[in-house]
Amino acid sequence: MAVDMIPPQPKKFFAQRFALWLGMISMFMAFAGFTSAYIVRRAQSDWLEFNLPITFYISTAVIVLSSITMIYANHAYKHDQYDRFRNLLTLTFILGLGFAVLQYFGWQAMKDMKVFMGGEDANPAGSFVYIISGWHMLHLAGGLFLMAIALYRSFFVFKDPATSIVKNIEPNKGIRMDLLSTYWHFVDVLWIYLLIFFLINK
Amino acid sequence: MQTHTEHEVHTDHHVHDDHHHDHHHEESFITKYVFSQDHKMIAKQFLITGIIWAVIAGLMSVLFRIQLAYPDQTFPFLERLFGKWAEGGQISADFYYQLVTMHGTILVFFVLTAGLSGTFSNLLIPLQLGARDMASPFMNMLSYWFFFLSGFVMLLSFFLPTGAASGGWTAYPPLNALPWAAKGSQAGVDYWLISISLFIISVLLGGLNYISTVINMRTKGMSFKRMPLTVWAFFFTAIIGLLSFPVLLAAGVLMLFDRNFGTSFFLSDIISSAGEVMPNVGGNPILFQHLFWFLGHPEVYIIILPAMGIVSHILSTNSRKPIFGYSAMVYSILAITIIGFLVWAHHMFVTGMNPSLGVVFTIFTLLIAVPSAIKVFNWLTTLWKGNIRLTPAMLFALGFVSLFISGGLTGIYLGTNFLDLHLHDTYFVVAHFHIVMGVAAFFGTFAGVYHWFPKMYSRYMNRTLGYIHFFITFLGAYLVFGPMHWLGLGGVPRRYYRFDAFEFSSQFDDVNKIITIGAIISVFAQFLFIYNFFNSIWRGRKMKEKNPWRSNSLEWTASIEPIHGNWPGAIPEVHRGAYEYGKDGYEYMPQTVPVGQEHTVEQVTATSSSTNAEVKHVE
Repeated sequence: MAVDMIPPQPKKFFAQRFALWLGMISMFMAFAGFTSAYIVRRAQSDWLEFNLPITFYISTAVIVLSSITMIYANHAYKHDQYDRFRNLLTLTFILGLGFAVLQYFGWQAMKDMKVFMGGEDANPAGSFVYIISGWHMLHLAGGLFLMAIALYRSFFVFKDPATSIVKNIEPNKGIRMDLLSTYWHFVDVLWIYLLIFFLINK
Repeated sequence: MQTHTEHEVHTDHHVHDDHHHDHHHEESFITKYVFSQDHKMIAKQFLITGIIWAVIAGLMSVLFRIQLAYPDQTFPFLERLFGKWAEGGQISADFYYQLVTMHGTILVFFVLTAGLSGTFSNLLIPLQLGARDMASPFMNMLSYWFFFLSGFVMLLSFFLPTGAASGGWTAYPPLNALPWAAKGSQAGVDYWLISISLFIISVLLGGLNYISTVINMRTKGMSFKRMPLTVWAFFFTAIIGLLSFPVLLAAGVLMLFDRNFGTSFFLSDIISSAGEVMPNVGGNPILFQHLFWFLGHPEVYIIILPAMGIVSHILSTNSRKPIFGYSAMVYSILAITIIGFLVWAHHMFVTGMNPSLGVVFTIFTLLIAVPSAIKVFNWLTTLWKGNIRLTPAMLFALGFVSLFISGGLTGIYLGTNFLDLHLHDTYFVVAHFHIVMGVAAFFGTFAGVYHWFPKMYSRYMNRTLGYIHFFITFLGAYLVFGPMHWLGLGGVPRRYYRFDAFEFSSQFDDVNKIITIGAIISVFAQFLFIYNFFNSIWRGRKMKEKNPWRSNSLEWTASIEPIHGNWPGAIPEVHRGAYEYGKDGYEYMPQTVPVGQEHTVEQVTATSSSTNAEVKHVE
């Protein structure tokens, strides 16, 4: 039986968006695991109280900003304003990288405050912050990787407006930007949740 | 979400869907058999990998059963096979614990999660719902290869100089968190944690796909109320996996840091074997148990629910009767899913838990008996006055019901906190969970393989071998795990390397010998199945009719030779539920038959002759 005779199945676009939401729920469950472990461990003895370094607040502002530029980038993409889209996406990418760098400085600042991740002088209070923010960083890295692909495509594949028509013919590809944007907001909201969590339960 | 409507408008363009693989005329060996994105091929990959792992884990059980039955005898062949692990022909204590740990890990995760759910969710969800493939075939492929990688890492750990992990499949700290605690707690546990992390990624990728496919890719007319119970079971299984596995991942990450980076999540200032006080402060090993069992308990439903779905489907098909209480079956799966998340601490009654908290967990645990009993009664009433066809698949389904009842009843004892104080960590527990989730889930898997083998390979498995396989396995299972209840009530503890050192446990020597002989017979009987399976792939009798079991569900309307895309023409439409057997004078009524067109279906008139006809064409 010739395989190419098979008429394809109409694919509901909801499926991909739905899968992403499921994925985000599942990723959140890992953080729920971490944060509930944090709460249980906090009730034990020897819990070190410390103030988060100021760097983490700056990084929060940066990632919120990147979410805002992402909204505009996605908007520009939908309205076929490709130059604007490229610029905004590049800006979002740089802000995302900036967040990662600031988090790294945040860890350094914690080290300077003598809050260590492991070793003899470490306290779980600090270890949790390192590990949970590091785990968040992995999710951010995933977002940055996908954004890098989107940037590559926007500069080298869809560079002239004529090819951008592909987006409308193959809506499956058009939705990718939308999914990326949703995921990026998720990474942003996740960090805000974690920051508030750390502040409430320090 | 604001663009949702825009995308719906685009659905007209589906012809341009980017299914590049649909347009290839011929696939290379690599894309067809190795990096396949076809759900049916991925299902076979999961099944065969699962079979290989089951053989390894089964042989492990033979080895440690030999040790338990004959602790004083030497078996020189063991030394030849395992070298330093079995010096003088006797299994060493370290090796024993590695075998037990790996037996549990492999069977729970690789065989009964990936091998069962991975195989049948992949095979049946698209076929029974009328979908060309999964929502994301690519992610589906990734799911298998993460599973493969995870197994590869686990396999590597067998060959470490210090051996594989040996602290039990539950990986409790501090035993597993302190490298000096045991040989197997060295690199073996790191490999274990990495392997399980990869496995979790595989489960999540698979589960995402199963859920999105069920929600989004059903064919026209396939409402939720018309879905086969198999699909319902796979659907809820995937939901449980998606919510519980990430928590184990978090626990595993914390454990990795405790082991390698000097953090104190689960470790406290305990005194080492060398007499030194550990530098850790105030860690809590019970915390790990909470995180672990938050996955660990739902995990047993991840294992048993797919088997329940398969069994419901096969019982109804082979009783030629509608499943009794379809909605009750669906709601009972839902109830098990929800309550299953609220009972994890019944594994921890002896951890010093507040007794009133224990009572809460006891109540929720006993509550699970209600939906479970609903399912059992519905299976029995489905059989009642049915025109039962005893195919090998049906026998295994019946065996499942038997095992589920016997194993489920002991669950009521263990779930009650004051009885658990006595029975905890004895062979009673081993007997309970092996029967209710181990062997029972295996029976579900076997039922599924015998039933859907023609769908996978367009050939039949040998029926006679199937019968022999069933009876040996069924009797063997009770022979092995039946006496263990007695051992457990007598106070014989789990996880002991040998029992002859104690007066009270050495009096059970003969029982242990009987169990071991039963285990060896049962394990080697499985090679009948394996021979039958692989022989039938190439030499089984060819399938000539599309619907050999005269089943209603959609998978039997697909072409005999499996093709990418499942249906050569249009996707069938669904007009009725999946279990309309023996209604209004029709023996069966495929889901694709429109209401009012019933007479167009060729039916076998005399229902009793159908069994004979069926047997005849198999011979």
